[in-house]
Amino acid sequence: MAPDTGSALSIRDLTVEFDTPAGVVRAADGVSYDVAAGETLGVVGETGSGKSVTALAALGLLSAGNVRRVTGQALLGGTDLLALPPAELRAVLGRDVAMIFQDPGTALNPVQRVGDQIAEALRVHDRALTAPAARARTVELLDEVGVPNPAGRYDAYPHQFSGGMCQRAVIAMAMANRPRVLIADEPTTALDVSVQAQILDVLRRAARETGAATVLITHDLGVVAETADRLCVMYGGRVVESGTVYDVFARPRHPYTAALLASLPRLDVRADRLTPIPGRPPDLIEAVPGCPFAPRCPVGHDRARCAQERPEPVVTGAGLSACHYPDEAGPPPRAAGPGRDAAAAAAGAADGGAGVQGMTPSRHGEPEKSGPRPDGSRAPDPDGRSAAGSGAAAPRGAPPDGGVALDVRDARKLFPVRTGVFARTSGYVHAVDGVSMRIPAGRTLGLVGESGCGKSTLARMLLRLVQPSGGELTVAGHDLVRANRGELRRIRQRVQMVYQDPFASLNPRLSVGDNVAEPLRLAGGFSRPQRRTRVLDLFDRVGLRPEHTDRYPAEFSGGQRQRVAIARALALRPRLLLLDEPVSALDVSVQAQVLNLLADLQHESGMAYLFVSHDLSVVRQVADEVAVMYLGRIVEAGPAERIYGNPRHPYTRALLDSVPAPDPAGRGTRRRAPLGGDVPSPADPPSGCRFRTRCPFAEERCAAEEPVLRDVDGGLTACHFAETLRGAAARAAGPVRDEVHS
Amino acid sequence: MTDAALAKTPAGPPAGAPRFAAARRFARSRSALVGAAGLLLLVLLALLAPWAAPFDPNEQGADNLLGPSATHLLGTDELGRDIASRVIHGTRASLLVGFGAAALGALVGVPLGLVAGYVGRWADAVAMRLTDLLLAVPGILLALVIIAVLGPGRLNLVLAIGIGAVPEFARLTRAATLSIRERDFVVASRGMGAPAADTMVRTVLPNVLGPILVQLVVTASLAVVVESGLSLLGLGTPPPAPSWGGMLQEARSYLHQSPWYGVFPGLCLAFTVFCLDRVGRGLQRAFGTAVAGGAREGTI
Repeated sequence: MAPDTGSALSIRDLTVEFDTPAGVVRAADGVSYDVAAGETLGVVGETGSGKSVTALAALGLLSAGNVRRVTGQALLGGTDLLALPPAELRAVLGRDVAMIFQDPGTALNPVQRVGDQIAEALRVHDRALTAPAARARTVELLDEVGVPNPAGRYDAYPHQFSGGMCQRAVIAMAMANRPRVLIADEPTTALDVSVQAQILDVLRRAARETGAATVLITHDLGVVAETADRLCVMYGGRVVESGTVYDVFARPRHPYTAALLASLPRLDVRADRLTPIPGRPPDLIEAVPGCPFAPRCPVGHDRARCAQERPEPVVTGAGLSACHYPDEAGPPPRAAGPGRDAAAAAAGAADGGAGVQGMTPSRHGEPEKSGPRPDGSRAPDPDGRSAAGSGAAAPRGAPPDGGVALDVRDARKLFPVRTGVFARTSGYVHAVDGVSMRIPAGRTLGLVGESGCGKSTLARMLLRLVQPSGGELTVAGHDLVRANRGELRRIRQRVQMVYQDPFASLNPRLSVGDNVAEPLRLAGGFSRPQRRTRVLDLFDRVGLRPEHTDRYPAEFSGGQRQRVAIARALALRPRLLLLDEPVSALDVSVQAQVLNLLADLQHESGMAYLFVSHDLSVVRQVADEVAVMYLGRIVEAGPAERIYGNPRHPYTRALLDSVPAPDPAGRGTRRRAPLGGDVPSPADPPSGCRFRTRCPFAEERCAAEEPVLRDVDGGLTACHFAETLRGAAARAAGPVRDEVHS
Repeated sequence: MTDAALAKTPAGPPAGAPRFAAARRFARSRSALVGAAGLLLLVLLALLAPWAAPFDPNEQGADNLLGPSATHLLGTDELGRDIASRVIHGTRASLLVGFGAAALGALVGVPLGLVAGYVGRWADAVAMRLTDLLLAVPGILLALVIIAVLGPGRLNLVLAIGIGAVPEFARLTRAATLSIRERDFVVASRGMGAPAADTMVRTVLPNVLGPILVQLVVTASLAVVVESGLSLLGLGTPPPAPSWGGMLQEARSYLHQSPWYGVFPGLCLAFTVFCLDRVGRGLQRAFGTAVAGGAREGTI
């Protein structure tokens, strides 16, 4: 591969190694890619795939003390950045190459005015620029990235900006010197979906305006499908596939890409089961002679070549694929049929005809478990499981005799806002403001909303980890609000919670077995051997190896830790499981494993789930009913089909439109950023309809009169125009929703 | 977690449990191991003093102020007692007071800090004002007052120095507790219906133990010095029982006649503090990451 004169940035055979106590980690292993001017290259990969490390190393920004070596080339228009002396490299950074980081909150200096920071970026590289000229140019830049009232906002500090506004300012700073290359490292991961859509739009404009080559590093296939021209998939520190977005999404040439696409939950259709990638990402310490994906690969069939010979990227079709058998990579999920099932069946067929649950992990030597029933292929098993759950194993969909697991009426939570020397209460934040919901046993309610809408507060209220300010909360038949200490302890044993971050929710000083046994110990009445037996049974149910009970959480990967957390939650056979973003900290391939496990467990035991998530595609996959929250209120609720197929609230529709679809086909016609602005402060919510400040249909009536949540077309919607919005919905619907309507 | 951050932690599952991981980190530092070995030697010496010492420390069987010789390795003191034997027996006094005072400080301070940090509000206010009260009086002055009231004696020494160490332990434990009380695993413990005391003892305490262990060693080394200081002032271990501080004080009077008298008690004192300090630093390093980021060790 000779350096292409047309490319703005060429990474050539870049290898990065770190020294760690466990050995040498090769985080990037001979990575090569090119970006041409005006082009957007999406670099996709899971945690630890080396996608960020490659970019940081190319710019000489890796400063960790344990970097062992960085070799290869990073050619910026012919000059090798890695060979430049530090002073010259500094001159290039910020002028020719600019970087946008994941967390806008920490990318700006909190004690310096936002405008001054951008002006400084300008003046560092252009000494001749006068202060007033820099200011004028900065205001211009802020305007370009869509900061309202840019002249006034120049003097604001970062904390006065919302997350989305901060990211706009960071983009303005990156654009300031019209760089030739723009590197964005997970630029929207920390943002809400409606803001993400806005920021992606700004990025696109910035790239067009400056004519820069853009490298967009992300784990989100939807973002790539929506934004990138070309795409480069990384796995285990190597590039496994690259090509144009259209080609790769339509016909993946590497089994990893195919499996990744197949494991994504989709917004438009609910699949019976997701198709997870078995096992876990490779250990970068052990050098594998063959293909790093071989142990998880559905195509390899344990062929000797895959284990022994390292596949190099070769031209196949329109792109590059580092697979020995690129033509067997499995048909793409979309081309296989309208729904997920066909794709899943096809993937299963590629695996040797094991059916939909073809990912029998033990066959591929999956490291994390080898139990008789790996989660991918588990069917409810009546023997030995009859004791599970409160009710008998109930078929999904039919509420069993277990009755109502959760009944919430008009729940409220106010947090006082204290100001002044004497900390007097000057107002209240209405975190949850009159929410009612019901979950029958064996069913799942998906609670959706952007950050700050009160969904997590609501979930914590249901364990009284947050004291409710008002309303009636009935959990598994017990009154939660008036429960005394003893009753509360009993209720807490009937309701269990699975937390978002499996790295934080397990006690690091207890072995995983003891972690799972905690609820049993606290409940009392179990002898040590009884607890042990129960723990082993639970480990089996969630697909963990029983011999691992004595290990500590630090030894497990994120997906495995979440299984431990789920086992702990199941220990007392709760009636209701509160799932607070249970998969948002996990990689896509592992996420599918956990979602399938949750579905199996519900099927076996008839538990009710409250599934809190910001991810609409995940909720689509798991929920029977969906409630959409905005600023402490439920704005729309109903069966999942009604919410996703026929949303009547403008907010629900905007959210659905904001989700980037992992399919580049037809992206040109899609409405990209349907919602402007940010969520208003819950301390001072707008009068009338709370959504009116961002609503495209708002009228005077919306400011004066608060819409009530009422029956509309089989669901509940709180909008004055819910009945008349149907026609508009059809007009605004993109290709994603067309499939639903047809 | 970014890839860069990930690369800093081992990509494979670390080989051991967190508590053993800390031990391994400790063992990797040579200076910490030297300190631990020295400390072990001192403890053995203190335990085996009657057998290790060539003479009874209080036996006045020789001439006064002899120089070092084959029978009296370090010479004799002003009453003809064997200095080597007295130094060996003096180890008992120093270590007993050192560790005793540190243990007392921890035994009172840690529960106080735990309750203050976890329960908060009024409990926090009460506990912290209490420690402020103690902090307002300089430690040595406090010890002097307590000894003056209770009279000298080993137990009273432990009490006097130990009380002074309480605020440090309380504040340290409170700060560590505050930093983890809102972490998910603590919330999860409450969510499972655990009573507050159970959460504090079983969930919070093991996770704040690292810095407390460090403080324990640091306090012990301080207490050894303070004990010697008090003995030097005549308020420490009552005679004729040997203690390093007391020996130093007596040696002061005979500096011209026998300059070697005070050398060994002084060296022993310095060696003890050195060993404790090495161990303290080793522990600090071993737990430094375990406390702040131990929960995140490993891979996604």
